[in-house]
Amino acid sequence: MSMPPTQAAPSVEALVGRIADEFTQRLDRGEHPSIEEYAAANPAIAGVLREALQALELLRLPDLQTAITEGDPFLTAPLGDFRLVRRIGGGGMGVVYEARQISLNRSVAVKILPLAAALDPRQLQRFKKESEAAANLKHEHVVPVYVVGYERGVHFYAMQFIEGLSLAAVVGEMRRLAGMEQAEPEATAPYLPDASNAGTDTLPLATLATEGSTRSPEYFRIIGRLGLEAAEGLEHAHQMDVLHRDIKPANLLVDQRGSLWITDFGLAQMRSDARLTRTGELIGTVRYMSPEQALAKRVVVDHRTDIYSLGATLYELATLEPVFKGADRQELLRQIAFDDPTPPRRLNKRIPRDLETIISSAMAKAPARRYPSAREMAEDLRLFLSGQPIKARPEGLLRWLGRRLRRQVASLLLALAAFISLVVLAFMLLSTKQPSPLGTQLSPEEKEVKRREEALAALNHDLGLGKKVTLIGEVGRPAYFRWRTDDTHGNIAQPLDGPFEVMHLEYGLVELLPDPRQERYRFSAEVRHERESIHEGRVGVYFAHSEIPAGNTNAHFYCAVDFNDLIDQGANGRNIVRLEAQRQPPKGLENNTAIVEETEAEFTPAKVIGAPGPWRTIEVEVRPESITIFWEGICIGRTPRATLMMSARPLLNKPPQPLATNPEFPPRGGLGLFVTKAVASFRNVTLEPID
Amino acid sequence: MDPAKPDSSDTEQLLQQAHAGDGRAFEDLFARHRAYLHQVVALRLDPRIRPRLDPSDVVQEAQLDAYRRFKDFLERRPMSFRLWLRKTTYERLLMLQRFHRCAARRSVDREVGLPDKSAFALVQQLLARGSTPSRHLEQSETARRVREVLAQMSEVDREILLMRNLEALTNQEAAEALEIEPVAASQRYGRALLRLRKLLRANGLMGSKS
Repeated sequence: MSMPPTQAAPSVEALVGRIADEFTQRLDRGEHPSIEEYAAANPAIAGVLREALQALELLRLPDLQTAITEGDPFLTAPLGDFRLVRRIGGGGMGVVYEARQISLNRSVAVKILPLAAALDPRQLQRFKKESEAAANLKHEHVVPVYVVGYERGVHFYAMQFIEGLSLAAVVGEMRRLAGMEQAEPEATAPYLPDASNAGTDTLPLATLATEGSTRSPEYFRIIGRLGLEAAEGLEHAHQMDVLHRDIKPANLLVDQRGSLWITDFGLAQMRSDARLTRTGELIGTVRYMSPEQALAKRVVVDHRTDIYSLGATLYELATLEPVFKGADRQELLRQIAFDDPTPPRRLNKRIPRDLETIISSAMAKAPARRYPSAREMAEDLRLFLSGQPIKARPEGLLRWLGRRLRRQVASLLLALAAFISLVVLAFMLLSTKQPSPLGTQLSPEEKEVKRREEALAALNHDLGLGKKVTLIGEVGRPAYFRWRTDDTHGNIAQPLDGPFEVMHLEYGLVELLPDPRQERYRFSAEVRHERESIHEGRVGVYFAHSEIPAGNTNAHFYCAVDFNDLIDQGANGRNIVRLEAQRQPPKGLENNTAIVEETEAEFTPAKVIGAPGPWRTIEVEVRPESITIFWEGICIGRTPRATLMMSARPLLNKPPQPLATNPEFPPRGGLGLFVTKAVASFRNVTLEPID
Repeated sequence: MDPAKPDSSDTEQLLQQAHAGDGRAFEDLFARHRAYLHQVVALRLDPRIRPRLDPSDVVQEAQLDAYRRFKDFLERRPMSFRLWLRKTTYERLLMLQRFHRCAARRSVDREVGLPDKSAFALVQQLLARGSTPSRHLEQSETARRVREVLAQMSEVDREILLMRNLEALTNQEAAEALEIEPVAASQRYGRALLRLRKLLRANGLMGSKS
């Protein structure tokens, strides 16, 4: 916002400002100035002044500092209908808060999804669909989801607040009591971060933890009952066509009555899409994955995946050991897909044979070998609990032998797969471009590449006919573009309804055309230097770009017309728009950058604050004999090619590495957008052949 | 160090050493201001990108920027060293914030949330300075609502209020940092307070009679 001209008489603002300034200074000195004194001394504005100073004092509430600087963004303002009370846990799938639903005045748990931000609309759509389906589940062993919402930039859902523990915490505690090390830090409860202070007097834990518990038949009956309840909850969900996809101890809660609740229905989908860097979380997730999930990235899984994972969970409860202990993701995936777990009874002889059989049946590698439904698993668990013979049979010796053979074929396949991933990995490491974390989805990306190629072909066609082409329109993105420099520190925003925006934290060229296809052309663009730039940054356009091998990478040569609209760089509060020939050496040799200023003109920078600054028009007429620059429609100079060549020469004498040849100034060559340490918007970018 | 003070004589001495070619002086100089810069960043860092970006990261990158521009600063001395560092850091913050926000694909965009986090040092500093004479309100509730009101304000208004009351910059310093005249800075402060008052009133945080 620009400053209004100063009025003759001091405005109320100026007056209040002056007094507030003094008032603030006195507060800073530790004094206690009196608002009333100031009000009395300025009777004409006593009313507003009093309130303005009161407002000022509110800014100094110690609690305000706390509110602003407190670690948690969500605790301070309500999230829709929910006022978050305290954080009760965090995990791979988000942070859980105890909260108050304002309208119904009830206690709820609100889970805030992490990186919902990073999901694309398609993924969000799917999340919404899934979580809404999950919200329809009504079962005594499924945590009811009350609301699925989006507020203040985050996706969250509110569910019944269950006071209790997750089975992950139970296992952790059991292991601790059994004198085993707490080996799986990632497996802690999403609900109660610290299992040890969660009150060992709550029922299940108390029962579970009685001495010698892991040996007592009672312990395994409890496991059987918990498994039964989970299976019943799953069966209900499966009936409603909702898969969980991520059944694991951390997602099974036990309340204070000892009743089991399944939570986080429909969320696993999100996780499989999130490319997590935090390996620990990923491993926590992977551990209970079904073999079919482990084998393929995007396999269509069915309800039997949940059955497997429930089996793996019961296995861990019974043995207090995870099914597989692979140290990293790859190893775990391999084990899940191909290895047989140690039979539970080999780890703990007290485990009833039938419980072992139930667990093994649930965990068969092939889905077709598992219980066909959660109902059948529940049925067997019920039989086990009532002491009757179960229906599942332990795997026979013959079947086992058959599997051995198949496994040999499988290991061959695995070796092949491992080799392929190695090649892919090597390729990724060697490629200088760092794939953006969001951009690795292949098919849309490939589509986009194809789209751009087609667009470029169309542009080239028109240029070949001598037509004027529009590279960027009034709004929206270019038909064709690509980063010409390292994009690790760059970003392109391409709103459909807003101007095309490029930012680069260091130095970026975005190509709009690899070649104008003629030697005489006019390149025009409207450029806006956005405020969130580093002040010394510059924005504009470039042309006549060429790349010369220098050492193991390339040096860039180009001409740029650029400016800075944020600060005064010239004398007298004026700024400079300039044409320069540049050589950008390979990364790591930044200090070698040389600039030759050829043409420049002064202008008054907009020094925008708050509102967007002005659009600046740049036109460049390139001919083999000269370059002519127009700034805001006015010709600011013509540079003969000879001069430019001459000034370009010295540049080339000191290349970062000896160059095979010195580049000629090409009237042709790549052209596009120039952004260094800045954010800029671009529109109405055109290229037309001239005489 | 107290941000309200101009460059101390120690700082000045180090600057002169740096000017004389002492390569290590910059490290010392930066170290003295690190806490303050951290606080400047923490006050403004968009809470929604905090998982991706920590104030220390910003300060560290700003240190590189400052190092690159240090020679230029020594030659020109356009402002006090502390303000210059603040400015460099602030610019880096804006860029990084923008970058990460874009990286998070717009979803965290659009709404203004006042930076949420954690300058413990700042809190303590303010407490040490003696809290202001305020009525015994439901303080945390009030603070929470004031914070929401601040988040509704334009950046121009909010910035000057933060500078004067949370960073404890003087009017002169705020003016320099904003690159405006001191008179304009004080007027801006006045205007921001008047707007704050209006918003507080609209939000029922201040008496409703005019």
